[in-house]
Amino acid sequence: MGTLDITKETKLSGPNEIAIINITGSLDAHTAPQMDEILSELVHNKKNKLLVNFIHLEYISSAGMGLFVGWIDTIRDQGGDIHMIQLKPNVMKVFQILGFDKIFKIFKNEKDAIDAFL
Amino acid sequence: MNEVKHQKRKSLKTRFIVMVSMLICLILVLVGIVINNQVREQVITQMKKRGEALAKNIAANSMEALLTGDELSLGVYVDKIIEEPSIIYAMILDDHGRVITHSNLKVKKGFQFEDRISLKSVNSEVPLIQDDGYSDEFGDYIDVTMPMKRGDSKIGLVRIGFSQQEIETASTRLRNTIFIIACVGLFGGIAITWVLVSRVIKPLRQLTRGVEIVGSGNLDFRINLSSQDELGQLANSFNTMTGKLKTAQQTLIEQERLKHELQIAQQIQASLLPREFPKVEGADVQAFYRAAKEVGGDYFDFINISPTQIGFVIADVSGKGVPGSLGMVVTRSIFRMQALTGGTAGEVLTRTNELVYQEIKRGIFVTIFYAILDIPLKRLNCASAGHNPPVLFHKEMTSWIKLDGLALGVDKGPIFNKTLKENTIQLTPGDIFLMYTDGVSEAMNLKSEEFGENRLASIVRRAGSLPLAECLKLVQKEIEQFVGNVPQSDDITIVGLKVR
Repeated sequence: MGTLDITKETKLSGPNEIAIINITGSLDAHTAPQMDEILSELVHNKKNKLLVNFIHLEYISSAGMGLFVGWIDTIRDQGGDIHMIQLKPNVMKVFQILGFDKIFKIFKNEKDAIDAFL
Repeated sequence: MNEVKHQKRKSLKTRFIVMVSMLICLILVLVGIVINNQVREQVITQMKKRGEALAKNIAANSMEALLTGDELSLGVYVDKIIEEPSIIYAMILDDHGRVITHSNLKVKKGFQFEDRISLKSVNSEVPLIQDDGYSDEFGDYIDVTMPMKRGDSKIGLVRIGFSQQEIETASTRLRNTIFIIACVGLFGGIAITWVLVSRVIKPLRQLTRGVEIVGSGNLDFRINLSSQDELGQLANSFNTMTGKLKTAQQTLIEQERLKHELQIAQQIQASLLPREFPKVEGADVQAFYRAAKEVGGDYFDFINISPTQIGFVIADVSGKGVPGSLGMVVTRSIFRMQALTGGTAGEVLTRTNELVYQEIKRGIFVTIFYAILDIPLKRLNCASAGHNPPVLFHKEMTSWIKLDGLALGVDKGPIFNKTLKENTIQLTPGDIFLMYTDGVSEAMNLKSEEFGENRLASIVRRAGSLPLAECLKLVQKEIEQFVGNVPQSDDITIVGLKVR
């Protein structure tokens, strides 16, 4: 079990405001609650255009996957979405085996991910 | 219980008061005795001095009268002296010790005393005080002898006797005074002690009560003591301890709860798995399962669909503990029903997904691989819902059965159905089909390296010619060796099929 660091930024403003979440480390059963809190807060504040940057994420477990799966419906119901960028190969592989690359929108870079929101 | 405590508290106060009282009494008694003796001595000394002075005075005054034989005057002097209450007797004697005049009229002139004291008195040439002779209920008399001299010759003497009666009176009065002071002191002492002890007892009582409350189980209670002294510190320390106890208790409760949950999950888990391996015509079936401490929830199953078809399924649920186990139970039931209903592997998974999606909690998903074996034809119809690609050993080579598919419980249907790809493989004698869960590929050693699919494949290649049971045993052994002492974090499940 590792540690997780989460930082947030905002891009654009008003109805187009996008919340960018940078995750570093390991998203597993131990650290999932941290991420859960962040997502919960954002959704509660109707910030549902989320961009998650995976560049520094070394490892994701089924608990971490389950976290995104758990929130995606609520976020989409609110009219938002989760766009993911820069997944490391080992993390991408997990998404592909589970078929989650068909559920979540994965982009090559930040620009594409942001554009897709507009 | 309170009665006993009440008594204890009272006795603390009582003990203090008794001890202080005793101390005060002791001091006062000692002081009293010392003062009394000192005073007594002083008074006696004074008395002796006065006696001497008086005798001297009389002696001086009666000289003339004695010389002139004026007995009348001498008698007057003596009468005057005797007026003093503490003077018992007074007499004037001639140089031979014969009475000239005596305060006691019964003593005739010319009488000669012959007792020891008197003899000593008569023979004395110098002033003499004797207090070791006569006595009465008040104590020894003080006998003062004052010789009257003219030049060097003794012409007579004056003798006065003092009783200690007056001393007694004075002594008694002193004693009474001291007694009164003692009583006042004692009561004052008791009163002050009472107040002081009460002051201390009150916070002590608060403290005791607080401890009782916390002791009875109320760990939220904090003792509120206003004093800053040692008792206040004790209260603070106690409150800190209570806080820590509460945290520890909560942690313990939480731990117990988790442990209990774990046990339930494990029991559920154990009930899900097949107890024996099916006998398939022309093939061997073996499975290996080892649960992790923190139950994740793998399961495998064999479905007797028809006399010519048998289904092999392996699954892994994402949630841990009881939620995971329940998700697995639900999935297993739904899947079993759908599998027995019939259809291709893909169709079964699709129907299963639709139902499972509605049943299991958001955020929990299940990966599953389903293979239907056509027993006579040895054909394997496979479909995967997000599960690890199984290994296929054929002619000393291994390959992966990679099939697209979304895990169960994530999407209601459209995306699941679109993603799902099924396939049919023809097996030949000697082929091994091995399904496994990620507990195998992700098994970690001390260096945090993963066991990996490739390592699994290479073992199968090496042991492919061995009987299936031995092959699986080898895989098991290699995993154990690789992992070493690192505790298992996920269930390890392997299901194997070898065509004879």
